[in-house]
Amino acid sequence: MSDTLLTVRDLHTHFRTDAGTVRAVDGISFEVQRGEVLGLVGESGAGKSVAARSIMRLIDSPGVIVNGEVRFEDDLLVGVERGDDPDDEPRQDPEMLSSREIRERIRGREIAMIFQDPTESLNPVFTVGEQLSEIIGLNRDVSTAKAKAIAVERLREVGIPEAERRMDDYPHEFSGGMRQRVLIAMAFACEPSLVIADEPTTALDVTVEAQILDLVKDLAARYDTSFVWVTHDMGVVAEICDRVAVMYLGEIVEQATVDDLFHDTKHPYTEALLGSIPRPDRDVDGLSPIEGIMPEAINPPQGCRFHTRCPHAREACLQSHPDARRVDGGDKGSGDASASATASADDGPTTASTTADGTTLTEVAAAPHRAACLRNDAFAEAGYWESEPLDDAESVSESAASETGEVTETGTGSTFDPDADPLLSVRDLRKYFDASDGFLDRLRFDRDAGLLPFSVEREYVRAVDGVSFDILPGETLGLVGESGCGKSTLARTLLRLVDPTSGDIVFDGENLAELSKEELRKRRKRMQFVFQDPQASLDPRMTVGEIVEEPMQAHGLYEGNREGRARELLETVGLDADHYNRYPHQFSGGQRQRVNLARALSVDPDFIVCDEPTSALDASVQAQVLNTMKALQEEFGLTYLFISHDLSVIRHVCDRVAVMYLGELVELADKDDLFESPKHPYTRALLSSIPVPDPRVSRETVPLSGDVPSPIHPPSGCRFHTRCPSLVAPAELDLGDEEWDRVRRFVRAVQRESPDIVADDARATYFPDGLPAGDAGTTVEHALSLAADGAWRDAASLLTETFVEPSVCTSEVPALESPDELDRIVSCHHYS
Amino acid sequence: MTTTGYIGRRLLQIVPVLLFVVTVTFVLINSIPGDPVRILVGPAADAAAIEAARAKYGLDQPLYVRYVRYLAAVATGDFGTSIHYGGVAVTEKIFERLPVTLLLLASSFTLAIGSAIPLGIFAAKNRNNGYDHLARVTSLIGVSTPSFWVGLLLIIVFAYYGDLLPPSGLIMPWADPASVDGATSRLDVLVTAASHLILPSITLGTLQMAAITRIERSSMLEVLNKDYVQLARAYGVSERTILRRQAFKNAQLPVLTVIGIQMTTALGGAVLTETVFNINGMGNLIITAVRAQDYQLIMGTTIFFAIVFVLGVLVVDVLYAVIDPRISYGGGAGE
Amino acid sequence: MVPVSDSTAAVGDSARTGGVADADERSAVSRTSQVVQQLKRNSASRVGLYVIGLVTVVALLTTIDADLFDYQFAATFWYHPENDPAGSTILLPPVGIENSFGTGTWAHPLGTDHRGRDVLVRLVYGTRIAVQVGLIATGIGMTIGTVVGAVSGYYGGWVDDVLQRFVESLYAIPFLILVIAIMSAFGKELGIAIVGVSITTIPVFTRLIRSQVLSVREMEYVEAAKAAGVRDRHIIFRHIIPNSFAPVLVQSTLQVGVNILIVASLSFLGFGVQPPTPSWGQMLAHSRQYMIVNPWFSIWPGLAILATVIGFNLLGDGLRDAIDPRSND
Repeated sequence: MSDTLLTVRDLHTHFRTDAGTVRAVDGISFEVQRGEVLGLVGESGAGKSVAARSIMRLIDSPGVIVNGEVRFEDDLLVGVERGDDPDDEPRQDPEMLSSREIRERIRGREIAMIFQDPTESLNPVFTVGEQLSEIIGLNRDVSTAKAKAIAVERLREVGIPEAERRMDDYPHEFSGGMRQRVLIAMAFACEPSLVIADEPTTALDVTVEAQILDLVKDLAARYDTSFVWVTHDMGVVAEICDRVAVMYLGEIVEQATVDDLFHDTKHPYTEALLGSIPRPDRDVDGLSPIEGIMPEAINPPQGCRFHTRCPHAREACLQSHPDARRVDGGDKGSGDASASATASADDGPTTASTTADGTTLTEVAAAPHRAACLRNDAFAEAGYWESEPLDDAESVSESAASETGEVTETGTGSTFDPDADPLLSVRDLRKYFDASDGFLDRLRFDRDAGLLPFSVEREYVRAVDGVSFDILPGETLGLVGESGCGKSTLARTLLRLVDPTSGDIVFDGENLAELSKEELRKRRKRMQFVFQDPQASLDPRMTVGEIVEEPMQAHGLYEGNREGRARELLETVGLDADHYNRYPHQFSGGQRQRVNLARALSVDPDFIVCDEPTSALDASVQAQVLNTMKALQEEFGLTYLFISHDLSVIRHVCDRVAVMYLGELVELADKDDLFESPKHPYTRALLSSIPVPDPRVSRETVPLSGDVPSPIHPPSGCRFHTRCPSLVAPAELDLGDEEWDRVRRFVRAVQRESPDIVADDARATYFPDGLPAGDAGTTVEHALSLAADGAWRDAASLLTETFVEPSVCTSEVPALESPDELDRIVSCHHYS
Repeated sequence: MTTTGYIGRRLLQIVPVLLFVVTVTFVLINSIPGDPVRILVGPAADAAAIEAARAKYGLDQPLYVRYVRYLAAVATGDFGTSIHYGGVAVTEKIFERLPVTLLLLASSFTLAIGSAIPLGIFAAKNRNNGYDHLARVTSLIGVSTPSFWVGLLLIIVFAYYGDLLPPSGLIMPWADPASVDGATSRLDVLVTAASHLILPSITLGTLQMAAITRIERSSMLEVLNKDYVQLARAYGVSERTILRRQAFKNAQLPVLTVIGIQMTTALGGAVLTETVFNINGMGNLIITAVRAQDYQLIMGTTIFFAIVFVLGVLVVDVLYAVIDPRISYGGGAGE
Repeated sequence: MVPVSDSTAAVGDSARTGGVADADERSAVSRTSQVVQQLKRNSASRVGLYVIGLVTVVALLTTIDADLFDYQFAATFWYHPENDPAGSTILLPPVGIENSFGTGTWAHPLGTDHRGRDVLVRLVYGTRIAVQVGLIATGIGMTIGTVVGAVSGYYGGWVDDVLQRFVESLYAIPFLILVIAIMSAFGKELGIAIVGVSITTIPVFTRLIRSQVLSVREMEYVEAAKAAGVRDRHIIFRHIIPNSFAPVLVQSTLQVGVNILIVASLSFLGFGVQPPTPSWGQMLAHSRQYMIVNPWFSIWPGLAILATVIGFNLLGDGLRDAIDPRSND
């Protein structure tokens, strides 16, 4: 049966600023059932974070909850009623909890929170143990010693190795993923019934995100915890949510079970959002971006707030504001009497379905599917929607994205000749950074150094370490890898924005690495760079015109007609020629990235390096920019190196893809080969980690153990061997494939300090056919007894010594599969 | 790397700085127009006496030889002798005066920090209300007021009109009771010492207090906006505990930086305060030395002022490293 | 990496900058005019501007009178600021107040000093010393400090190492002590005081501009210009200097206040401008002996210094808030 935990009714949270009232949350209602994960999804500015924080009244000045009711079990967390006059003070329900009550009874105890940025969420000057035990002690009324014990137990549970020792470490000694695990441990340690998670995986790499999602699903099931999960990522939504509320400009436009939302979409915005995201699991023919930009929450459009960008908008949408109505045919609620006629009665009531992760939705199936669109209203019966949509000039905003959008529908990729001579050849490129700032930073205190107790040490970050590949004219080569893998450094080194430590960069027959500064400067007009952060890459003190003209000036091009050329370029990239005199701060993120494109194009380059050009943009805007980029490629015959951490985007735009790990290229292949039959274990792990924006697609994550090692002291042999799930068996151990698989699983379990290992039936669990013969068996036996005594570190290092160190992966650098042919690279012992 | 290693490195960094200070002082004094020997021996001396003095002070040697000699002497703690004080070793004079100045500095910093931190926190907590405005205006006046003027006003009000506190001099709390007027016991000495210390400490501490209040307020406001404070709120930690625990330690980091910067102002302020209150400390010593054109003494006091400053900054840096666990680790370069 | 949080900050932000939609109606607004708007709205910085304006005009007029006309205007229409007047009562209190020397009259609204000179006229003519030294010393120190810092930050390497050690060491001598040492070597004149104060000002700006250049140099728009093939010289003058300049502007305004305090302190200790030329610090030094009989003599010059320095501090704070709205509240 359904058991409602949290009810939100008509919640309004406004921010009073000098410029006017920002209606960040403007009348939203939803419910969360016990054990349910409700996704709150939307683009930036939709108000989803404010909504999540309003639940616990965590709104800072100038924000005010002006109206609404939030009921959590029997407690009224928010009970505010706005008078008819907006200037009146809102009336408070006497039943509403006082600040003190909500602090002492609700926050932490009943409702816990996880924030987006794990780096900022932990206090840098206290140890992780201090912070955990303080919060646990406060919310569970236990002694400090007991709180510490709980903290250690929870840390172990969330997969932090050597939890007891790590309690005394400071946050900066943990990686980002580990910090998020600590915060999850904190949330669950207080045993709340509800956790509000505000984009908790957004700041993490995909492989880490996959681990965290698995962990949260696991814990939520074990403790029967409900979630309000705020995210902008439809893949994550499909992966973890049971039900979803889609927000647009402070309102919930559609609310449905995750399956209905993706497969029985009722609101044009949701439709458009889903249509604008590239898929990691298949090719999409042209993305359909949402036109225009999101209006300001300070002055939302009249009528339906989405009408300015809606492809289906009609006259009525301009005037009447649609209410959220049931669209699933069933109508048990008395409050929805008017919603008798719905557009999609033929779909029938939602039946129990199963999401990818196997959570049954029987309990929440009763929750109705609602959408706030006139299309689903009475108009539908009168055949209103058969009429012509509104004229574009009226409904779609000024952005010229529509034009470029049309161009792109034609082609899905660039056409290039795979046998042509490469435009750019990179051979054995290296870039090392000095890890210390100056001489004194290199000094290390060293007791054994004799008279002066100091020694001098030089350390290098091997950001790019021996990379070779070709880029063919007219192609888009994708470069993908997790943060810190060296992809951005590689991009900058290619164009000699930083000088390479060694290696050749041959651009159209000329080695850039050998050119003088001035010669290089002249060549720059043929190769341009588009940066990640559209705001930071535009000088705030220059007008857009000056910005676009600057490169022409530097190369003495278009003398006398620079302004005309700049205006023309602005139109080419989908802006107005009249934007010439504006300053960057007057544009939205997507528009700024268009200015960046215009600047790059101003000198008619052949080759453009794009460093995460869309990762700072919302999904709908990303689609606009990606389409524009493709159109430009066709129009001007451009060659792109496209860097991204987002494999879906890479799949959508690239012809060939290179995968980087710790400064090295581990795999390079045609896009289709790479996505359909990845060879390198790292590529496989990476691909399996991306959440697919479709709840019906299930995936099996290849688990990666541990963190990315330091690029200062990279691992020996194959750099991936410390995390590789398919290490080659040491030759001398003479293990069969199946046996080796079991050993590997066992080793990973010990490294993770899995409780299974110390269970009585550990042997049977991990080695159902008995322990392996010889040394291998003895070692496993020994490790088991060490683990039983709690000596996890010793057990792990014993296993490493026997099973990891003798492996060829640890000792030898894998040879390339075909060292002469650079169109297919796999750097793995399984393929050499 | 450890905190010990960090301190070791900071100590090592001091060496070149002090070397440079000695050099600057030496160059400065040796670029005085005219013949320093004349000043040394006095206008009445004859040619033979001048030559003798020149040889005696090594001034017949070339500049670089004198520089190396001076460095060597300084390295062994020999700063020469003071003519004004009748040939007494410069170090002896300095060590006689140094405790007075250090006492004054210590008490004024205690006063400034002790009052500024609660004031700043309180202002941050009551942001934009009446108290906050009052605190901001007061600290603005504090950083804009000449400290010696504050001293003069305090003397007028508390010493002359109020007749509450002594207008001049300083008594060391460890002084022999017999040597202090009207004192018969250690307690009397302590009371007298404290009464002498109050006005100079306020004079010297006003600027520090105002500057620290300002930075404490803004740094507290910044910390209170951090995610980890929001998180603490979300977990039901009370505002009091947040201020006292979560935010306090972090907010002190920029404050420490400002205290380090204030060190140089405070040492200059000590000279002025000692002048206003006729206190025989290092400040008065350097003024006397300048008036008497006693160059060895000027060099010695200047170098000692620099040493006090550098060590003060070192203390601040070490405190910083103690509070901030990230500091003793070299930041690894990212992508 | 990574996008999109619609936190409260983001909401506030978009509200502040306004979207493109309403930018249409506005004319193109540069950052500079935004800052000016912001300053105009802030009443504290307006007060600061008025004070600075008044003080500057007074300093300008008195300098003309003193240097070009040898105090003719003051002597004709008022009192001579330097010469001892004949027959005037010494140490008179301000209007309406009585002390052992007499009762204050409108003839000397703020009273007279220990030599019977009018305090007000000396106060007015003392302005020029404070403002001159404050502005000139700050100007010299800022120029040298900015150049050294920019060079140090842009080139890095050993140039940076050497310059930084140099500046750090300059910083190690407390600045009042450094100026005193300089003046004991080269003389106690005003010119030397200006040079001394300038030298102590250099490290302040070197540090500031260096850290600015280091951060601006890493900005993506500088990299973008580099990638576009823009020449180094161009990058420095069009991108780095304009974008590093805002904090320098703020600091110089605040530094004028600091330097006025230092000059006053020097005069108080007997360095700098010599009697009978009127200066505020020196007036305070003289007043020390007469604190009991005429405390007013100590109060006026102090108030003058306080008001002037507050003016510069108010403007500096206002500028900082206008340039970076997050810095204060």
